Amino acid sequence: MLLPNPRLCARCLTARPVVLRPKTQERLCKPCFLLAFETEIHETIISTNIFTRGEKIAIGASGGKDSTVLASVLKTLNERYDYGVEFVLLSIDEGIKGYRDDSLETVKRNAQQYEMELLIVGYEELYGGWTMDKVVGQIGKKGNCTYCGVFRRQALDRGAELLGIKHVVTGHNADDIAETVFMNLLRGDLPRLHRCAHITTASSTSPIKRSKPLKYAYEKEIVLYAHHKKLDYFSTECIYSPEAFRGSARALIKNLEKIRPSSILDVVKSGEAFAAMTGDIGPPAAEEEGEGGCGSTRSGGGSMAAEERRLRNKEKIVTRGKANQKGARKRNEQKLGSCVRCGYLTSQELCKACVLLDGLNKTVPRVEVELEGLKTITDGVQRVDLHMDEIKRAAAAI
Amino acid sequence: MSPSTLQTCKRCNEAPATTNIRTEPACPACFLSYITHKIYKHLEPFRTRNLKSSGTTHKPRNAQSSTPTPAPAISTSDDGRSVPFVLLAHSLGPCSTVMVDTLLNWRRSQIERAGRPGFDVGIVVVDDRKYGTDTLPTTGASNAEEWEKCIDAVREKWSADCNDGKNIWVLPLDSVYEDPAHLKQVVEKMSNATSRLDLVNLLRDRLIDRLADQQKASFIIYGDSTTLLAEKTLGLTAKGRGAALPSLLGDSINSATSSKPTTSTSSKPRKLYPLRDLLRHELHNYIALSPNGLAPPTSLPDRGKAKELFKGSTATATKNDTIDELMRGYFETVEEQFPSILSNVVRTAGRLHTFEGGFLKGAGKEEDEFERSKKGESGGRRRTFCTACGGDVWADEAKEDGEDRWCYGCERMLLGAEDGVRQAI
Ligand SMILES: [Zn+2]
Ligand SMILES: [Zn+2]
Ligand SMILES: [Zn+2]
Ligand SMILES: [Zn+2]
Repeated sequence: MLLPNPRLCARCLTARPVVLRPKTQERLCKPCFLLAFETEIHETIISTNIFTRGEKIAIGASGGKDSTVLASVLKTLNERYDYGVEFVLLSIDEGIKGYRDDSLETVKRNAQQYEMELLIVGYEELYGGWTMDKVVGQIGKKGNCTYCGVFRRQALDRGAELLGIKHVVTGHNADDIAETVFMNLLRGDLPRLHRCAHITTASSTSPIKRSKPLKYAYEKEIVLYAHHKKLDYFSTECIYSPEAFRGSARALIKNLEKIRPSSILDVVKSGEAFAAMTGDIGPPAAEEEGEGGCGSTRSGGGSMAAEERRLRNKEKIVTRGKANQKGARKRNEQKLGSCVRCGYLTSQELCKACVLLDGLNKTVPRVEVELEGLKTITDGVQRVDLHMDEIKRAAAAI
Repeated sequence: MSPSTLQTCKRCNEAPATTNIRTEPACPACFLSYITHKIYKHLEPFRTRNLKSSGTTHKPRNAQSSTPTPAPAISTSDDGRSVPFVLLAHSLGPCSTVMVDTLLNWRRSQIERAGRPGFDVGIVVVDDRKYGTDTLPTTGASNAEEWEKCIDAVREKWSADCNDGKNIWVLPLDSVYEDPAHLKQVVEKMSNATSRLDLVNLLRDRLIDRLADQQKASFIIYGDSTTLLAEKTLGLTAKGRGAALPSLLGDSINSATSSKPTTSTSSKPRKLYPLRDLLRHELHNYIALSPNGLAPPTSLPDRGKAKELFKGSTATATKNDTIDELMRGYFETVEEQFPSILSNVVRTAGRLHTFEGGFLKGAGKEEDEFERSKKGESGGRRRTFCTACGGDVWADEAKEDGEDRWCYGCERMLLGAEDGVRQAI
């Protein structure tokens, strides 16, 4: 048996290794690492059949490392293996000064580098002037990720709709998914536990299919790939920091990786097993599903103390023999319709975003809160001008 | 956790509250009855009326198998009638001690009330002291003398209930293989501390399952607290053994019984976790307040110890730590601050189901795959059992029958292990 020579790349056995692969602990040279990383993503795409020839697909682009690597790899693979699909970049401008405005500059450069169309949809235009900066100014830093998650999910759907696209791919990596599996176990969220490890999620509350081609890619390898490929990305995390549940799960994942590097993938695999083990899970929790806001895909989850209080109250009700089964049944009876105000899919009269907006508007008497036209930031790649009416029509047609 | 002595118990509104039931001030009497109530809730299957109609009876098979366990005597109740046999897996730790104590006292009271017990019982202790990792001893006993004292205490206290002590088994973990020296060699082939411990846990279960099988036990009872079950839930998830959670917490029928899957169709014992609603510190408190002599040296310290390291969120682990330790440390904090979240983890995991004969609906893509495999179409996979742990495996159709198959979790356990380890396990 040939013993691996630690001074040579484990794959080509000729070049000097420059990377110790976090996922497999192999020592690889740069070309072998890049190829191995790309090939694994190709294999994920092929084995799960997520793309259809002729399809137009939006890449949710934040300018961060995950979505930048995703765009770069997808461009490479589409050319190398002739998927015959067209990629477009779709960005959300949450209106966070010093974070999003800078990262959007990166996205604009990426659009030119990868020769992809770019559409940017902004909270400000979509939500009557409520940028995340203003939301935080109003409600403080606590709980703002709820707003960001709800707003973001709707914004992505609307952007895709504008582009005439039914499929959005996001940069969620294996670490993100492992984190979400733990978070959903800690929150006892069975419906989300069922869905979170799926590569593609189609939701009854969204006409847009979401896929995660990087679901088996380690965050560390994404960073290494971006570094060795000299990719142009924006590396600051959202200034409105992640909340306790997510943070707690994240700390666990990071420690697990140090104990046994294979753990991250193993949590993802366990998550896939859970999907087949959750029976009657009922409909998904409608629009409250956050889209992992902040562009960094890792906000949301609420605070552990709040969840503890909620559970304790529930326990008290149960122990007093007043267990209320109605709540659960009610959810099953919900029918999907359109929000009477904005036309977005919802099971209530108002969609979650409009409810949140109402709350924001009530606390501050704002003179003009009606939704204005949607402005699109252009960079010479594409220019789209649309008005709210049109968006409403598009959403109502879903 | 030191309520003011001025407060009165929120339950009886009489006695002074010197302790807590979750967040409510309580007196010791109310606390003790709270604990026993929570345990009794899960002992439903052992009520005399439930046992009569159960139809499962205890007729131990003669131990002719190759296992080195001593041949067990046939155990019947006093009137000679066959009754279900319950095997208690005892770690000698405090939670486990509460479990043994509660069940056997319950049985004694059955005899008092009905003149006979509704079930027969045995206790098994696996001696795995030699196979702990450096940082996480598999049993809490650090010195042999202390351990022996605990065993003696168990025998002294419960022999009369366990067929004159004939149904108390102390099995060395080595005895899982015919050659006792074999185990050490296999354990040493593992590439990291987590995998070594994973294997030891797997083999301990195998030994207990084998004994339960020999004894035709209807139930195996474990003394795992909510806290331990939450640790195991996240720990197994992290080891790629998520698919095994139902056999730990759910509605499961125990599938892992022997080293090689047998074709035997005999009904497998059910695994029960009656302490699943109680936190570790509550059970410790129960021992401290218990008037009936539960206190040490009847029990050893808990298995494992959270390293101080993992209690803070800024702490970092190293290769030499184990996933089990990490989870122990994590949930120690959670148990203190967020007990309801901890209980909810266990409840959630308990709602995961194994698929008997097919996937549950809602499984999405995998469901199609299962449908295809039922129709015998190509590309489908067959379900089979893991050679090592007895868990579910989806095998490629191309693979020959009778070939060894390994589940994902066991494959990951072997990652980086020395050659030849598969055959050895
Ligand atoms: Zn190479
Ligand atoms: Zn609306
Ligand atoms: Zn009281
Ligand atoms: Zn296995």
